[in-house]
Amino acid sequence: MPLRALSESGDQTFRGGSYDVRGWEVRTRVDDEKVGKVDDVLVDETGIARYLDVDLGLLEKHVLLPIGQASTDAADERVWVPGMTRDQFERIPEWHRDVDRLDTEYETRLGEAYGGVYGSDRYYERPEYTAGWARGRRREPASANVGTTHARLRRLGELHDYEVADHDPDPRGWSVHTSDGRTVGKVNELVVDAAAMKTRYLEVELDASELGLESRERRILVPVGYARLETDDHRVVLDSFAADDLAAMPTQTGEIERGYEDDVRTRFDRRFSGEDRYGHPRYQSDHFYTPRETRR
Amino acid sequence: MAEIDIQRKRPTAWPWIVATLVLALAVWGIAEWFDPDEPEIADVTLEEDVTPPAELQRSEPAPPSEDARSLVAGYALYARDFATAEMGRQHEYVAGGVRRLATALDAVVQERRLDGVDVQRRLAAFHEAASQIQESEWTAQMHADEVKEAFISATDLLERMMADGAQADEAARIAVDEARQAAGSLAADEPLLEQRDAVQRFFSATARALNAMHGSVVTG
Repeated sequence: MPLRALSESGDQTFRGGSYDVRGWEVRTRVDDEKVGKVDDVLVDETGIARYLDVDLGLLEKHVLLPIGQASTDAADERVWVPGMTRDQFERIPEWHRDVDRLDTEYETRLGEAYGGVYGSDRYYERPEYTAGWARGRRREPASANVGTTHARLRRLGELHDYEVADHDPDPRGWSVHTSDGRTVGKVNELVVDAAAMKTRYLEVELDASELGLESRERRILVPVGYARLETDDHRVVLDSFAADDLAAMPTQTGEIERGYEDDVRTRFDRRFSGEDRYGHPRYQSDHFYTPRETRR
Repeated sequence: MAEIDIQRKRPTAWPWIVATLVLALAVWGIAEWFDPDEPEIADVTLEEDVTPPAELQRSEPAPPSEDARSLVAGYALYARDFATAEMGRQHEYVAGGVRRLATALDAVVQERRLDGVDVQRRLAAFHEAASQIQESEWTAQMHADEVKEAFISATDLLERMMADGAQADEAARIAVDEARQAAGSLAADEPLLEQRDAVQRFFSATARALNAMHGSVVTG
């Protein structure tokens, strides 16, 4: 799936609520520092944006910012980079503004560079956990940035003082469907980060008979960023995974430890390679474009 | 890509409402348990419950006062003794009987609150007649006209008392009739000394009438 620069594309139509962010200021949220401006946008053959080309202004250095790791502030015409400082952002491998050099090797280095900033204290600022971190037009200072602490994960049912927020659906009990059209189980519980007030995982109870599993009950954790909620039908759809992918996931029923999370995240990441790499949440623009009617 | 926020549960008002109601109920229960006024309230309620309506209250005989009771009893004894009185002192006995009858009638009228115009007017007439008897100079040939007038006046009063009281029993009615007959039998132009039986019957009948009425005359 080759990408192309928007500025070099004959079709510059913006679809589905997207808009042109070229020229907008780019700031890192952790230290609230300006790091550059959006010089261009790399789009795939369907016109969907995958990277922002950010001009750092330092000796004409440019870096690519996966669109799923950023969010707009349409009112102030800004692009925010969560979970990073200016120094970290400036150490991202340079982009030489040549789409022909955007190969797997470069994107792997790019992914490692971005992944490296999500240390233990920013573990859940990865796109697969904070897909909607920039919902609305959040402008909270870095000190209040959600998910910056290594919060202890708990199942929501164990937290008697918490519930799903009014503005979000509660998918517990909903059926879970995979890309191959199979119903693989149902959402049994939500694993939440009470400090950040966020759901991090869906605990899915797999249908052992449907998946041909020996165990009668197998529960796995699915990072919430991989799920798509169909609220009308009360369905959870995992667009990038087949039933067999889930059957291979490690089970978890007790305390959730970081090692288990690393294992889960690695297994899910493997699914996004080659031609499927842009299916990863870090390349999804679902939450990048905040509504422009909020512009002041 | 889903995002599911959580929030702290908002406190619902129901637990507070229920707790407030339970607390109020408990406080009320404790107050009722230790309330020293409760027996008084019960007494008042009982008293109110047994108090008859005004219409019934009129038909309920009030307990006789000691004054009226003793005066009526004294008059009855006096009437009984009249039969054995010496003829030489008959005048004194007649005057004394009329005076005691007037006193007893006063007490019963006052006790029964018979303050109707007719009763008061007839009571005044009887007192007038009784006063004349007390003031008359006794002679052996003294006619019975003043005594007869006083007796008839007393009989009228008793009838009026029965009418106002509306509760006179048959014994009282018979006694009053006998008194009227006795009073009517007196010959006004004949010497009183010759009509001793009629006088005695009158005193006896009025004593029985007062005894009967004393227990049956209703309050006004």
